[in-house]
Amino acid sequence: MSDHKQFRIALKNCGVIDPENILEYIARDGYMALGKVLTEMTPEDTVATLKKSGLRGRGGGGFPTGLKLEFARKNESDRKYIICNADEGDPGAFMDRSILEGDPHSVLEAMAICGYAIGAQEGFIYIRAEYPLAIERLVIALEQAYERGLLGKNILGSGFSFDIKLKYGAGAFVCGEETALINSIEGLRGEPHFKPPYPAEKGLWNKPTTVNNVETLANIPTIFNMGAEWFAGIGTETSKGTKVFALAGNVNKVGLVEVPMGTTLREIVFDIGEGITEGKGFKAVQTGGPSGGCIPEQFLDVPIDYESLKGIGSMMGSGGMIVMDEDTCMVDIAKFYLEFTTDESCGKCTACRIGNKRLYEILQKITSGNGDAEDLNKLKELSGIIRDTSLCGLGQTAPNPILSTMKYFYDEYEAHVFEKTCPAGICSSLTKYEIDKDKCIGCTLCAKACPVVCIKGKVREPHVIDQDKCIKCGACYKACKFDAITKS
Amino acid sequence: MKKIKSYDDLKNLRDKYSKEISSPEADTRIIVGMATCGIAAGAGDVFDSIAGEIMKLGLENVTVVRAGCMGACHSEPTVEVVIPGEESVLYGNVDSARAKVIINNHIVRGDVVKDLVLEKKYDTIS
Repeated sequence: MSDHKQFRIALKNCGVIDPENILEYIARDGYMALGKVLTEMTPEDTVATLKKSGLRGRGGGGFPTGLKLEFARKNESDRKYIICNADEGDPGAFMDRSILEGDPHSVLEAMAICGYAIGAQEGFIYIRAEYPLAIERLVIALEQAYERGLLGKNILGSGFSFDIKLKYGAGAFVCGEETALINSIEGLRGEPHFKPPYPAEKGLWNKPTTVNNVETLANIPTIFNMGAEWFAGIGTETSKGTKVFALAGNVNKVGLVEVPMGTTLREIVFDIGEGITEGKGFKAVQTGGPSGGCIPEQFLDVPIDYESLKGIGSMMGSGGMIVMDEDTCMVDIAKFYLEFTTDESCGKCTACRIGNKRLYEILQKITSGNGDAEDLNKLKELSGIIRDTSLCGLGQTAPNPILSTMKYFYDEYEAHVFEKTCPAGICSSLTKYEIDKDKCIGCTLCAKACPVVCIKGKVREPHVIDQDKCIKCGACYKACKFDAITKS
Repeated sequence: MKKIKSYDDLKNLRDKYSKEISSPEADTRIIVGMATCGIAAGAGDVFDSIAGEIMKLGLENVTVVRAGCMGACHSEPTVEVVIPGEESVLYGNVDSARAKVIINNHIVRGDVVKDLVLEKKYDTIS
């Protein structure tokens, strides 16, 4: 193998084949895993292979996929269902969309394999309606798979039949939670409910159901083609295979990357991502979306797997990875995520519905310079309560962005509260722009750039900012060529 | 389209098409990354430009393929040229005009357009 940091399994066909031509997929061993499973393996063998591979859910939870299938297999029922969770909603995440747009057949094939494994004859892909191209390509892929007899009745003469239908989500973030997703398919409100019973026991229409994420499924055909041992040979002790990340933020090479588990954050950010933009310093990397946390520099060399990320206060999540440079305000970041979860809370649990709103309000208070010591305690206490008393993952993990930033960047919270300053100069209420009279030569560039015309002064004479009118947009700061404007 | 009736049928079909793709007589493939990200960056125009130039020049044995995301968001739109028997070449930041240059230089004359080449920094399972 070469010294490349990236290794593509889930993305193996993305950008290589024409996703609208099933023959291109077949030419690269497409549907061979399904053929092998249906003709040479029992459903029990199929489950055993996935268990042995060590594959775990890529949607974030990390539950062993084989075990999940085994539970659903053991629950007897006249009908069972396979669901593909394509309700990708983390800010900055687009792994699943890319797989569905670039290699839709891998997901269809894997769903049929899972159907055979648990004894299901029907599957649903729950996909957000905001992914029109992914939907278009899935529709074409389904049509071609049916025409070729790779879905439908008596697949490859094996006697096994499997149908897949698409179900469009309306964009509610909480519908990525499996019980809420099942409710939504049934036509009910997208609200989670208590587990147990787990979907493996009572899922869609109260029948045993397995819900798997897109990326998890995309790994399955390769596991059967290459063997469980091969797959289990990649990664760390507890996390096997690879993980796809959507690398975004203040990093030079943003993109979709797939790395073996156990790769370090430093390798992703600095080798694959080629470092921070504009030569600035690294501050933190956010993983796990609104459920995750911010990881500071001292943990950049931790090998990434499900356990290690949890151990440092974040989580694997679905694969969003946002890199932040030294000019990022961590309190502002926490506020951004809380605003998101506040919007997306379904409202069922009081703690999540009202608690997160209160957290958001406290953060607003702090970033506007009105916070006090008591607010910092409240943030911690309330975060704990919300985490302990919410029903689903959304509520349980919503305080994580606050908890992790408080853990690693407490000095920034203190600066906002006690010194009423924003060290990064992001929180506009706490930022002040001033002109250094000695450095200003009166070129008028700043006055021309000011959108609210609050900079006064004659040509070739020092200018002055009217602090009452200033909206702290920073336009003058960027326009000045003589470093005469200071930000504090 | 014919139904595939058995695992053996499927294997035969796989062998037939994989041979066709990898044979020295196979068409040159020009792959345009056309997932949502690529299209947003202008891959649709690039695709049209490539297809138009191939028609205009009357090039035979060249296929243009609409593929998914190659992962290089930092350099969209991306185009990969796969000539049978040669190392494939990945181009980044392609636009309609550059696409024509790639066709005329790389496809017609065999000169790689070095300024636009992106290093492929990943391994893929076969």
